Amino acid sequence: MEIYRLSAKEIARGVRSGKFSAVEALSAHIARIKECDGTVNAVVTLAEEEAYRRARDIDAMIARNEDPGPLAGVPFLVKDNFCTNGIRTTCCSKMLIDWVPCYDATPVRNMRDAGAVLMGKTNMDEFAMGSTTESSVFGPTLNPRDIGRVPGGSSGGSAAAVAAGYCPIALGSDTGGSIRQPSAFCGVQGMKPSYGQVSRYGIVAYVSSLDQVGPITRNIDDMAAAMDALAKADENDSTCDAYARPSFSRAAAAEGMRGKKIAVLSGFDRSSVDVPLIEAMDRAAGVCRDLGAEIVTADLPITMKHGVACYYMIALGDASSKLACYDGMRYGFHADGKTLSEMYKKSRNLGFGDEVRRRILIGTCVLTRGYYDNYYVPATKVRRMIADEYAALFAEADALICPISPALPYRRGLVEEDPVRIYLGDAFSSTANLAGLPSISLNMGFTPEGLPANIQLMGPRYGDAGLLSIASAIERQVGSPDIADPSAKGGRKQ
Amino acid sequence: MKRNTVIGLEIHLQLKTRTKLFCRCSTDYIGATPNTNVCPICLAVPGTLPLLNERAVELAIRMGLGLHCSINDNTRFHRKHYFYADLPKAYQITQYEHAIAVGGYLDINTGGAAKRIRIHHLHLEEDAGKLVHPTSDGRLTGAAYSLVDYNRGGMPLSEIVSEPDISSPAEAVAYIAQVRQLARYLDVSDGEMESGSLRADLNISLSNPDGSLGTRVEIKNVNSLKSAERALEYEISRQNRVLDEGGTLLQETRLWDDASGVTRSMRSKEGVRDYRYYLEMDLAPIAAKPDYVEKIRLGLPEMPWEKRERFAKAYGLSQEESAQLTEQREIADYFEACVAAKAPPSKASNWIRTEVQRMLNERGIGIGDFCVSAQQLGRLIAKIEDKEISNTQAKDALTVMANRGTGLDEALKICGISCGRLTKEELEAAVRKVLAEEPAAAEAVRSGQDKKGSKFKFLMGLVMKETRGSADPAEVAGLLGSLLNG
Amino acid sequence: MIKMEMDEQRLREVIELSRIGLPEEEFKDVLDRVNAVLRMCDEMQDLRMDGVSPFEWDIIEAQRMRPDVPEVWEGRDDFLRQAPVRDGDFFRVPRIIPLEEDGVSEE
Repeated sequence: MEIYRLSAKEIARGVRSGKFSAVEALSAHIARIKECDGTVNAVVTLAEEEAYRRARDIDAMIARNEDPGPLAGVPFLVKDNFCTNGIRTTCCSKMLIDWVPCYDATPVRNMRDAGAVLMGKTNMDEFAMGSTTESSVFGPTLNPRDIGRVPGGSSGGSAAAVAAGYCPIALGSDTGGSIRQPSAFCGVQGMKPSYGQVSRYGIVAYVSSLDQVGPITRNIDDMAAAMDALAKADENDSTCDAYARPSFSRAAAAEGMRGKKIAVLSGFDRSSVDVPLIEAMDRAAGVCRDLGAEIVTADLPITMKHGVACYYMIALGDASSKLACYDGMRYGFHADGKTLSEMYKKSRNLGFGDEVRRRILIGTCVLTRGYYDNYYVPATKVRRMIADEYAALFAEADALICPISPALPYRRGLVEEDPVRIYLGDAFSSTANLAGLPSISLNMGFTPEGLPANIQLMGPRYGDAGLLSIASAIERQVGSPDIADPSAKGGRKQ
Repeated sequence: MKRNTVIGLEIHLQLKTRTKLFCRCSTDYIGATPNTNVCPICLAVPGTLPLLNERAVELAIRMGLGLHCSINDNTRFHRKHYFYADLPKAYQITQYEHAIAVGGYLDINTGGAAKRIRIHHLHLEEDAGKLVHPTSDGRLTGAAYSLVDYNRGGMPLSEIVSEPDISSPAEAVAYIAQVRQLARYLDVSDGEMESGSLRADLNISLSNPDGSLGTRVEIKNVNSLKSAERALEYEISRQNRVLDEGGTLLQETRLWDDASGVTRSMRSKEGVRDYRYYLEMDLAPIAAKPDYVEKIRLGLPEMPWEKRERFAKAYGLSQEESAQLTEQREIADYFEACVAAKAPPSKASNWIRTEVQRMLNERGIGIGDFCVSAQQLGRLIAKIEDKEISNTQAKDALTVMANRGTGLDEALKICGISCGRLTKEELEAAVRKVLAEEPAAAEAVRSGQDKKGSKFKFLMGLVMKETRGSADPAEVAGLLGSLLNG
Repeated sequence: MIKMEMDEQRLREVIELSRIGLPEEEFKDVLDRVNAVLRMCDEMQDLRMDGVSPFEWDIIEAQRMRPDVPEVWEGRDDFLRQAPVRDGDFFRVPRIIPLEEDGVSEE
């Protein structure tokens, strides 16, 4: 079997035991990228030289009987909003098209410290604003399960990369669903940890209080191994919690279901969600019941009614703030102007794409005098109410099953005219970010047409380990998704 | 028409930390090559996050306590948005709604009248970078381009906002001076207006006696106490003139032009700027728990006004003397060490305020660099008190000590001053020696031929010279007389 | 709390505030989008929010504040080399018109 078909844990085991070298493992994955990416377009920068250098270092450590770490020799990719020292980081925008950071994001460093080998950067919606990975300056990424469809976004590149077998682990960022939704569209497993679990240092910011870094994998064990590497305190991020994390790998290996209470979301219009996705939820509930859990239904009236509006208020406002530093002076795209104002306007106008520019403007509107008091401030209070509503739910249940996206992966090129319908696509996923809760996008199989059907599994704040236990238990029953072959439609369950 | 002057001051103090407010860059930026005291955080490189300096928080609390404020736990930072070349993030991280210290006061004294100025709050914020303009007069308008230096960007500032309790330029000056003195006493800031570690923005309006509020004008670019006074005086007369002529005043910001002695309008844009303040979510709430604050309070030194009072009472000094001695904490400490070395307080006070201060001025140094220790000075002054040496001799000795860095005994030796009172034997030996050397003069006195006493005076002079002036003249006369006549 | 509409005049001010241009042909579309978002958010105002304080994080263990220890950044020269508007040791910007800027420089 080709090495790229192995899981991360199998690769690490292989490298550490000498079954194959880190260089061999890397080669296999790079070959896979080169085989498929002409079609899929998930990778925007391939850093081959650096990767081979690192792989050779890993092999040298093995030869010296040193332990490179639990992810020894495991190749990985990161979304192009992760700062990587010496490797171009563009956020898939003209604004940063040539920008090379002088430092590594903490999650990148943590993966490296665990022995993993960075291969390059993946495609995304420009500045993480979007859910289809069609707004990138590098062109769209195609869904490896069905190249006529979108891979989701904004971490579409990372999800597609894992689905197509480029690497067993890719990192993404999730602000309102940007890891979980593309994981669902590409039929892989994705996790957004609790807010504060993983450092955000070095991730080009979108929304300070919503962004979280997380792993995308093909199975929960690999996800837990990635979490062990990623979830650590960081003095460079004041919002990253300093507590001592439990072992996520041990949690994933533990018996997860007996005596647990699993809630299934109710109180929403089931017909507004595609049938296979509802069926996936029901199947997941059935699996949990069979494993000895109690199934209950749960309602989140305030969350479901006001969540997405609340999310957009906060997200758009903060985005307009965090993107104000792009002025063409110290880095990034620059256009000349006769005055300072003109230089700012031209640089920002020409550097940002349409959607980014629109969102900055809308965001400035909601923070501006009058609108701030009547719209933004209420949103911060509604956020409190949503967090409280979830807390009440998780006082009674260990996990919540609900949809991620109301729809199966869309066809490419669909231009959604109604902006509100676009926003509603985030209705199920964005509230986990508002409340800072851990959430896993878990594959439950594929439709007869070969489209993936994922569910969202949410847990209480800082209940990431418990959530991984439950996800692992379900996955043991339904199986983990196989690698997609992008030239053909569909994927099979193992 | 008599209008009341209503003044409120906003004072920015650069905090005396080693690093900037949100990054690890050094605060020692003055004179550094442009853009060398920078890092990814203060340059707003994508992906970076602010990291709050614990010492800045400590100093803000210190200053807040000195201003009699209550210290709030769990205060937050906000973002204040605007675009300008000296602001990399296009927002300043500051405190908007919940400042770390609130509701204090400062007592000032103008010409003997005491007044309490209420402090609205003290908050933390970061400084902006600096713009350098290549025009010949350095002015902003008209320059074809500007150069930006971010060395200062991110420096920690505490902003102190007073209530509009100040009613005259003199009070404003007294207030700024007191804030400055307090900041230096607490080692919170150097508080230097010229180099920018203390900046004052003045808000002034004239209200009519019927109580109706006037239009508020903000004045910036005041770089010294004198400028503050002149700017306020100018502005009061300008506003009165406008109102007397029936005109209306604009609510605006004006810059003080020290060279021309006028304030100039900075912009004609009316209305309030829209800074879109909202919560800074990249930073956690600032911890200022009661026991932490208490620990800081216990570590505070004596306040300048407390010291002033205590010196007056404990050392019997006048208010003015006491104020002078306690102006700088280091000099106050010096004075007390001097007194501890047995110098009488009033003499020590005089010596320090005149001789020592003069020497410091001449050498352009502070008391910390003065090589005469307080103990040495104290011993010197004690010797004058004990009549071991005279004032003149002491001055000479002090000069030697200051110039050559020697100790007291060494200096006295160099000056040829013999220390301590002469013993009877020593005096007698000196007198005998002189008599032996001047037999003619001695004989003249002995034989009664010194009718005018000039020979006697001559001999006395020689004895005084022999004893280097340290003998008591009356004693010398007595002994000379008895030896000559005895 | 009141339900507000974004009008053309105000949007033009906001465009100025964001230092971002908007082609005239896109103006109406953006105005419509802003109002669509506001309409989506109108319903939030109907919630009873008295006594609800704005959202704050609960954390397990807060990080200590950063110690006051300086560090020199080695990458300064490389950074300046890449900067678009570099002029020797400075960053150079074109003419600043005080009336246009809402900056608060001292002179």
